[in-house]
Amino acid sequence: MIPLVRKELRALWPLFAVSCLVLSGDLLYRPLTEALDQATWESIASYLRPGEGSGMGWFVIPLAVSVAYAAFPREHDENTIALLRALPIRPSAIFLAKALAGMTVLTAALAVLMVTDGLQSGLNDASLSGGHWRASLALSHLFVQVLFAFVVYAHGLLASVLRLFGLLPYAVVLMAGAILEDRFPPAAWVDPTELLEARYEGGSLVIPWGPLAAHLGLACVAFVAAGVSWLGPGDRVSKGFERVRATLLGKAAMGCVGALILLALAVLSVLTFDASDAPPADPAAPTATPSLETAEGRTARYVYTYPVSHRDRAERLMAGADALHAALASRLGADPGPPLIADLTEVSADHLGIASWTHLRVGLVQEEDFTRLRRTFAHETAHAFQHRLSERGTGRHARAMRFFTEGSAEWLAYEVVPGPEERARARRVGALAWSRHRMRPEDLQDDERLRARYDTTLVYTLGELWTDALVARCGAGAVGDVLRASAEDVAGGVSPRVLWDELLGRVGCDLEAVDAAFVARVGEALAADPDAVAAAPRLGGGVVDRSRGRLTLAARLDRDLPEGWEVLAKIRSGPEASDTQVVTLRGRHEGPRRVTFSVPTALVPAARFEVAFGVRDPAGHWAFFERWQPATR
Amino acid sequence: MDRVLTLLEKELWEHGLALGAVLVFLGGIAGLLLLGTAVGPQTITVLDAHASFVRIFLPLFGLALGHRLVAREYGAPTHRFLASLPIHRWEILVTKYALGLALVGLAAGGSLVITAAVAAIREPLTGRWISLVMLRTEVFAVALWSFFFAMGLVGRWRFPIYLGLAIALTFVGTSTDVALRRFWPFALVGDTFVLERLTAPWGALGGATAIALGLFAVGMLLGAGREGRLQEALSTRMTLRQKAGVAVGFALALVLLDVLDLERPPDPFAFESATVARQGRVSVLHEPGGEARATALAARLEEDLARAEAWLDLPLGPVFVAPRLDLGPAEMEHEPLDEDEPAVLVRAAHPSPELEERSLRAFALARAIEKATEGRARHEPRRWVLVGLSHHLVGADPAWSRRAAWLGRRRAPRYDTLRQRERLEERFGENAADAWAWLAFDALAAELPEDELRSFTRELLAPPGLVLLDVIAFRVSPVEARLADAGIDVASLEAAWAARLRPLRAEVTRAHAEVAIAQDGSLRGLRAAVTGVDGDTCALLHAGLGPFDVPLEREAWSREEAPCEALDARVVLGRYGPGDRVFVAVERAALGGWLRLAASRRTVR
Repeated sequence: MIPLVRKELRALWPLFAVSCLVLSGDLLYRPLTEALDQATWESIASYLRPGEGSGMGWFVIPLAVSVAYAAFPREHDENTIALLRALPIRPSAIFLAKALAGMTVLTAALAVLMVTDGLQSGLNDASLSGGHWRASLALSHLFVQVLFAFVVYAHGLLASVLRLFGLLPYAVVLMAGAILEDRFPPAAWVDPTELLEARYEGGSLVIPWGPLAAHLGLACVAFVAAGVSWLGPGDRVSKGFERVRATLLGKAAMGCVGALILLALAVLSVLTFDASDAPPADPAAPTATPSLETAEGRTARYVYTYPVSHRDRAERLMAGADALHAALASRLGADPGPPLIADLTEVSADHLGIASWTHLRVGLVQEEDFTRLRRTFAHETAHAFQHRLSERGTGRHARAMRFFTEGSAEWLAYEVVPGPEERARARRVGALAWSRHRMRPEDLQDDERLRARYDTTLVYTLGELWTDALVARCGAGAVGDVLRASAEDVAGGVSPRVLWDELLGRVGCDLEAVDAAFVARVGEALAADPDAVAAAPRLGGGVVDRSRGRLTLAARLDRDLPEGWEVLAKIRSGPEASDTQVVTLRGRHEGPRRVTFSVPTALVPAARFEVAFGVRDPAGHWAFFERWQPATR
Repeated sequence: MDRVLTLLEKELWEHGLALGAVLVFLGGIAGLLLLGTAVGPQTITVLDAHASFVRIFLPLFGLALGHRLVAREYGAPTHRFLASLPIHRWEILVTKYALGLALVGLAAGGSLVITAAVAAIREPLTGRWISLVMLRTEVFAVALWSFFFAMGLVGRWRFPIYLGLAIALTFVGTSTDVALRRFWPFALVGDTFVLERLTAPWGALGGATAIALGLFAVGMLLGAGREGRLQEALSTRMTLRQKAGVAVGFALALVLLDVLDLERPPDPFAFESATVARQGRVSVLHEPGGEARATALAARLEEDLARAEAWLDLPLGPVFVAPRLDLGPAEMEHEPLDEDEPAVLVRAAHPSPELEERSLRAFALARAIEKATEGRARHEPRRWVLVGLSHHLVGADPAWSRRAAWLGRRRAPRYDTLRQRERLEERFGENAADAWAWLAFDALAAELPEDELRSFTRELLAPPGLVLLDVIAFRVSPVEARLADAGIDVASLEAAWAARLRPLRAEVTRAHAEVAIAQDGSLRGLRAAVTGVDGDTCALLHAGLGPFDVPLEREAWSREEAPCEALDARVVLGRYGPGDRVFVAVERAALGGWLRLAASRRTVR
């Protein structure tokens, strides 16, 4: 047995070298480019960071599959397996020796990773950021990683029976798993890379014993099946499969199986959403629906499609649309450009309108207030101008420019469709969040940072206020100038703040000056109505009950809720969730300062999710939200 | 022509069923995309489904087709049989190319026809618009198929080339300023692919066609060149050693690409406004009317920089100061600029009359030295020297003495408190830790001859040559050893430092703070109470921690401010749950800044 293992290890050494290079290649350059006595263990080893680690799975999977495929297929293809079988060794010993050698190579490569990361981080002896390496934690990670590698290796051995075709079922399973995970978050554990996602309790790694046992069980089954296949009927299965696949019937069968899998995946993706789990309908939402029959209209600047059931409203909007367009063009210093396609049939639960390039969609029926409808129309038209003036730079630099994209569209909309009270109310909500969370301009200018901590709708309220500061500090044409500057060749791969320095520098202005003016405006917005500011409660709370398929969240207010105000809770899987994936819940009062929210567990996007509590003055559109906070289902 | 038709018949007989099945499969995919787009919440036009099909599934189809029609034939012995027939090699290749082109074109065009038919129900489509999209689609399809046709003929190097191209394109897209979306043929299916209704991208259309012709020619050369010997040589299988060699090559390339950054650096940082006071390399941004004070500040900062340069024999870069009135009088911010930018940008409550100007100058100076030493001056054991020297060079401020005295009530002046700067700052706050370092450095300056002191600071606050050598050198000879070399041991320094601390008075009442994590039903609440002080403002600071202790940046904290006597009413409920590690601190507004009364790291149970 030992000579066999040695022989296999000799055959696998090139793969061991590749694995070490892939996993620990940073050792070649990091000591030369980074001061290691200032680098922390987790900055060197990204798999240690909370919530991360699953990315490492995508390095380990190809390595483990390659090692598995190096075990038998080649021996069979080149008939060298016959030589091995001619030796006085049991076939099972051949299989075990190959498996042992494969896992030794993978374990050794992962151990080398742990050692090289530990050595590099060991040079930092700072009182807080140094000395992070702990043998127990390193071994815990290594333990989970080796088990993960075994899971992949076992499935790889089984897949190798059918050569490359064997990977296809696994690709389908992975795809199905992704759909399942998306539609039914509790099933996230089916993705084996989730095993590597680092979660901690205190300073210790939480080993996901349940999912690990399930995956190991499946891996053992796959391992035994691979053994049975390769020891006995492996060749026959493989060759028989090839023969069947070559026949007309076989091809047809393969096609049907493929089509059935596709159909099953499609059905799965549609049916796993149970309508009964949907949150209760919003009583405040407009109930009118547009007719399916549509008509077309045309003015100098727009081509419209609208539902015939709302012809009067559409015609009223169309009558003033060209004037709005001209006013926006004038403020942006832009030529009118090509006519825009305006789809007024939009009905959406999560937005009033959207726009891209020369297209915009606005819901005629969703907004009862006609002035607000016109403002939404102006807002979306402003987006179309933005895309053209910036040559879609607003999209390319979305991380840095999202607040400006939405904020300047909002600012332009208020300029051409005035609403001073509504504008002041919106600014107050933004300013309230700003001051209570002690936000900094960089929080606004970096969408990733904003998303990580705060309510993302602040890009509208604070972005509008920032645009106002921009215009005050840099001139009336600054909005258009900045958009045009973003169309130019700007530095890539830089932080949002550096990008903004460059953009404003090109229009002869300074980010710092605008930010200072913006901070002053925030103060003014708060000072304009101190009573309204003081009336908005602070909220705290979390999950208080998990029973009967429902999750109950409770929020506690630090002062009485003003008459008519509503308490809201938003839940999301994490900062990566898009705005449309955020679920908003309305609270039920259970005491003067206590509000509860109930949500079906199936709607909660992940086992660990985030919640933010907020309050809204019914007279305004925007709500004040506390910071996002973690919660568990 | 007959021979080509016969070859076509052979291809259809051989691949017809599979191709038919794949086309049906693609139809299903197109249908699903159409359904998803039609009900998608962010759909701007149903034609987006066609865009997704062309960008994602058409290349996959081309890849599979290239493998099936071309690579498989030349990887198997059947091409030798074909070559033995009275047919030209180019006829075989042209037949395969034409068939593949027809299929890819059909799939792409079919997708557009179906999508447009659905879109026309509710969208005002025009003939010109659809013609434009069709033109872009088909030219892209030609370029795409030409690529996969050529790739099908490179034999065993096909997958390494695919992988290499994928890595190269990813690198070009992410680490250089080259905007791939502007290049042919990608420009044809870019952002405006299905949205542009009026103008044809003639440049991209022409360029993509030229690329297609070039790739076709390459394919013909590979397939028919040297009477097929080239193809024969390419089509043998790779050995395991070759595979490992390719893998090692790719791994090394990945390592290299990870280090390389070919992106254009941003424009040099500068204040562009008219309201900027400039003195030498210092620029101070100010509000209209604030020029005189800003100019005076800039002049003093410039003097500080010149003094530090002479002291350290180290060229220092430009310093920019921006106003931020929401900062406290002793609160300064450093905003990191691009790493290649030699300047530093700091913010303070300038021109507030309460601003601690000396603190601002010391802060700016320290950041400039940090930048000039490529961050090595921030290394924890050297940090007290950096802070001490920068404060020493701008002269003493009474507030620093009071803060040092306040800290002196809680900690003895031991060298370890300087060496463990991160821990000290976390416990007592930045202002107090800075004052502590200033006093220690001042004591050192009094004990050492100026030449020795200069030499000591120059050694510690120098830019690293090769960073690895600097790391090793510092481990061999730490600060304590260098102090001894300069002529003072740690005990003497501590004694001199204690002597300076003794007469100082904090002039602030004693206060006590306690932090508690209490259970409230199933939630956990964070609460703090301050005793011994009335009327001041206090703050409860808290932040979630990971499994490791690291110094927290200011923006990581949540901060709840209240009158000190009412701070316990401000409960942070539910933010942290069992198993979470939390940093909690209590601060009191005093001595012109914030004094940290208590700080701890807790694991919530």
